[in-house]
Amino acid sequence: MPDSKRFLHPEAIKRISRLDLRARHVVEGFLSGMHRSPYFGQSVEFLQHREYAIGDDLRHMDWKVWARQDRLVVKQFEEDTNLRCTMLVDISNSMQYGEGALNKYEYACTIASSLAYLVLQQQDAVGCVSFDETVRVNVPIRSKRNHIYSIINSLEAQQPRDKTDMHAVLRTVAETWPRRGMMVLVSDLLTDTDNLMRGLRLLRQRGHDVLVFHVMDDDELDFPFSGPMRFDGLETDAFLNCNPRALREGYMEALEHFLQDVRHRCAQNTIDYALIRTSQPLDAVLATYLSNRLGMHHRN
Amino acid sequence: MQFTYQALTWGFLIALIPLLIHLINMMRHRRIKWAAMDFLLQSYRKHRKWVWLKQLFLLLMRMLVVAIVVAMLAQWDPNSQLFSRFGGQVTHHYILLDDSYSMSDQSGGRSVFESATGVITQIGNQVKQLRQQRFTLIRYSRALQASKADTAGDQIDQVADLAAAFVDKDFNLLLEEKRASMQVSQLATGPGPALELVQQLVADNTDEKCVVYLLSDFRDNQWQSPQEIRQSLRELQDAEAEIQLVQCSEALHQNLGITYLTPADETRAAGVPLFINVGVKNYGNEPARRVPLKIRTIYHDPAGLQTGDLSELAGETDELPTIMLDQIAPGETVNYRAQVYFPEAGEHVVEALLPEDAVSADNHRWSVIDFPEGERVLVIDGSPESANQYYLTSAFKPSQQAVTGIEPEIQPIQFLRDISPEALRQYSAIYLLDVSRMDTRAVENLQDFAQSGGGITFFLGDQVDVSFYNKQLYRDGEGILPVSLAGKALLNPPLEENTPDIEVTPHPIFEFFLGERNTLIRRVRVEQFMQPLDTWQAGDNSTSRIVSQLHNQLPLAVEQRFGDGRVVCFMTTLGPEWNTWARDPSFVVMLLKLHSYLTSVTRTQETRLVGVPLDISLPMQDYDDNVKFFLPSEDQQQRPEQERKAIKPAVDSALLVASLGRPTPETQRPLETAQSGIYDAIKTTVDGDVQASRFALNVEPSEGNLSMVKNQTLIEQLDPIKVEILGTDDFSGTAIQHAGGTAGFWLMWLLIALLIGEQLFAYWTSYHPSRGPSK
Repeated sequence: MPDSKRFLHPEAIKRISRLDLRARHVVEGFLSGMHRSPYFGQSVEFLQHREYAIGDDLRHMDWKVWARQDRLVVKQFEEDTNLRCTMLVDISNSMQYGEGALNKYEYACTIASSLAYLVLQQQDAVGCVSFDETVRVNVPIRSKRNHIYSIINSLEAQQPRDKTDMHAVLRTVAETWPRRGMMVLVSDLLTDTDNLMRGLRLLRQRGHDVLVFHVMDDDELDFPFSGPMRFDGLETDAFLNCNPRALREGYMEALEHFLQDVRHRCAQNTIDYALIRTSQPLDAVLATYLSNRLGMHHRN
Repeated sequence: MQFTYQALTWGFLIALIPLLIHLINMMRHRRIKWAAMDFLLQSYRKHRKWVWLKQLFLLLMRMLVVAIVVAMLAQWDPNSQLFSRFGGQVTHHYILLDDSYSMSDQSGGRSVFESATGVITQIGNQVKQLRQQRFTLIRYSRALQASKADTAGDQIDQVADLAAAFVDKDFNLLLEEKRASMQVSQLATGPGPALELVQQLVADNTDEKCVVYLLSDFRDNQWQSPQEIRQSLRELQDAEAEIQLVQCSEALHQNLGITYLTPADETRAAGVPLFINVGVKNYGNEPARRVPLKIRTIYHDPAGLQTGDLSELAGETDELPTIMLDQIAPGETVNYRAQVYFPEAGEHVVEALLPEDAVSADNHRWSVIDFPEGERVLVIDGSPESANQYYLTSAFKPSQQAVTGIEPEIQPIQFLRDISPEALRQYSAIYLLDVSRMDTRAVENLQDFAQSGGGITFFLGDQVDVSFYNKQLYRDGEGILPVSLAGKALLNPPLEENTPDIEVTPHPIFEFFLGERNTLIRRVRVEQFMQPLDTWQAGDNSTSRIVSQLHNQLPLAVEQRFGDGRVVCFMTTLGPEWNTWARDPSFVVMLLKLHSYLTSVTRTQETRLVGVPLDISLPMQDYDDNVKFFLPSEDQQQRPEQERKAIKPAVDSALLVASLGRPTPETQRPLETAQSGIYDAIKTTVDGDVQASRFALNVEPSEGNLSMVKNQTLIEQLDPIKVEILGTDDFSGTAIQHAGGTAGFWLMWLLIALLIGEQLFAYWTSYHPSRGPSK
């Protein structure tokens, strides 16, 4: 039996040059494998009854219950309006590292566009913010089907540059979109961890549901280098001549410490965190997203 | 620091290669744009010093590995220089070179001896590259000479070609010079004398490490049962000397050798033909077919010697027709009899030759035969009218044309009393025919004559005074008569008609008659004979034995040794009074054989081997003390000449002795008699007459046996002595093993340990890629 998810592998995705087609390809490939998804369509379904209170909209009154039981109750749904999802895509210089099928930037753009496509497919609204030290492009939240092209165009128009100032960017985002929604951060998080966490905490405080896709290249996670090498910093002027094998142990220690720290602090702030390798198939990303949506539903 | 191959020490520069690779790698690094610099810098800051130290340690380890490999290739000798300052040992190489003539065995145009000297050069080349090395080279022949001269160990300089020579830069030149001057000798010397000499040297140098090399062909005849050699080697081993046997011969080659060239034991006289016996032995393992044997005679005219010059010593050579020996089986000795003739008296030469083969020294043999004018024989006839002597002289001198070389001289019994002992010794034999009795003085003269090697024959008869014979001549077995007499008796006819009266035995006098075809003596009839006393038995208190007996088992002829001479007593008459023998043809044959037997003591052919000294004894009052020796040479016109002054061997000696080839502790000289051939000694009388004495020196024939002892047999024979047996091909590198073998062993283990350590350390320091993918 053919594996439908084989088309979600980065090597397969790389062959599709247009980002919109990539997004469609990813989502439809993913959905074709899901079949009876327990999560699909939940946001428009009935949630519960509540006693009527003065001031409640009479349109939500359940007249059938009043007729049968002589009680005034109102119907309560998941949400009155569409989900408001914002893609926060890191396009700093560090995102352009990657020697696999897709570099981190390409992988991040694919994630963002795929999710946006999925959200729009569900009649929800989606926006996109790409940033480095500051917000570079801000695509407003819309729920129209063709809004996907606006998001994709904004991603394709950018090239990675500069450093990341996560706190400043997230604060800007929180102020720009005060209405609560879902914030999906796609980044390598190679910035000051404290700044990052302050920014994420701010989003949480504003009632946003935050989902972090931590995109890392295999090289960054495994550090497989050998032989004499010179490492030039992508976001700094620092460089280092070394035998990477001699430093690998220390590097892996520092990386592990960083990942533990990020994972721990995200958990503390009820932030969904997923470490994604650029060599991983993209269905993992979509599965993580839907899992998060279910969790958000349950939390509410 | 000392190395066997100094040139390879430049290789230590290779040890810098790891450092260079490190520096080049630092310059030729791969550049990469890296995002997670913070983690990398964090790791670098934390581990910087430790990483640097590990890198340095690894680098030094790799440089050390290279240095050790170079040290092993260059053969590091830890025993030298630095170590020697703290009492490091000197290695002394003792080379014992077999130069016996079997080493001249030719194989592919190269003799075994040349192979052996090639090995010496190889050892020399290796030793030259080492320090604290000494080299002693001793030839077997020189060691033999030293042992004969009783040379002390501290006079090793006079014996050895190289005596404890320190190996320096000129060593090879010296070695080649010595090597060029060395030639294989014609001696048949074993390693015994050389080993004894080395034993002494090793014992005197206890602070040295000794390696003893025996370069030889290890022939069966010397090494099959090497009891004495094993003892010498055991003592060397006890002195902690290392022993190496270098087999220089590769294969057994076919070889024929002349084992003897001797005149028949017959009367020798000028003008009398003489048989000579030649023995040819096949030492190979295949039959030899159609072997041509040449025999030459060299006649030296005594009148031709006037001044003693070399030109007068050439002689007239006459070559007999070549004899073709049909087949000689492996290990078989074929005897050939040839007749030679020399018209005049003198010391003449007979020479035998075989065609060239693997070993040439044993293809040639010489014999010097002294032919006198004739042999004077004294005949005393006691019979009435001297009837017996007629038959005797008729047998010895049948006619003017037929010459036997025997000159009988008839004298009365008083002659024995009046003659001086010296004058009596001029006779080769005395025949006493039916002599009744004699004076005491005559008896003393007879005893003196016999003791000095003369031969005496008694023929008994009616005139014999039995009582006198027993008392004065037999003297209870102490006298010259070999048998005591009882009195004459008649011999009864045998019971069987065909039984001969005389029973012959395999004795030189009678063995001629033993053959089926020679039945003449069977017809001889003995009517009377002299009975021995009943108490007499052959062999009692003397060397007497029965030579022939009558059919009644009583003796017919009895002989005994008396001093150096021989005495034979016939128990019957010479003439036909008591028997019919004198009228039988076998009588002449018997008499000639009897005479040969009696005189064979004085005629014993001396067999001289090469290497033995030649001594010329000269009566002081008759000869000048200058003696000139001419040595053999291929070119008869260019024979080497040695002059010697004859000296008195003892203060009261009336003789002067001039010697050739007799080594003395004071004057070591190359062995003068080491060459086979004819040696002439020219001596001059006080009257100015020049005389020559001639000697033949031949090689020891057994040395021509080229069969070699097998290595395994050799090891078994020498057990429990630990020896290493090497060939000429696989010899190279042996000396190096001595010099740097132990160091090389430890260096190898250190190298292995370092390589394992380097790998482990490199893994530990993550310098080796892990099993996963790497970039």
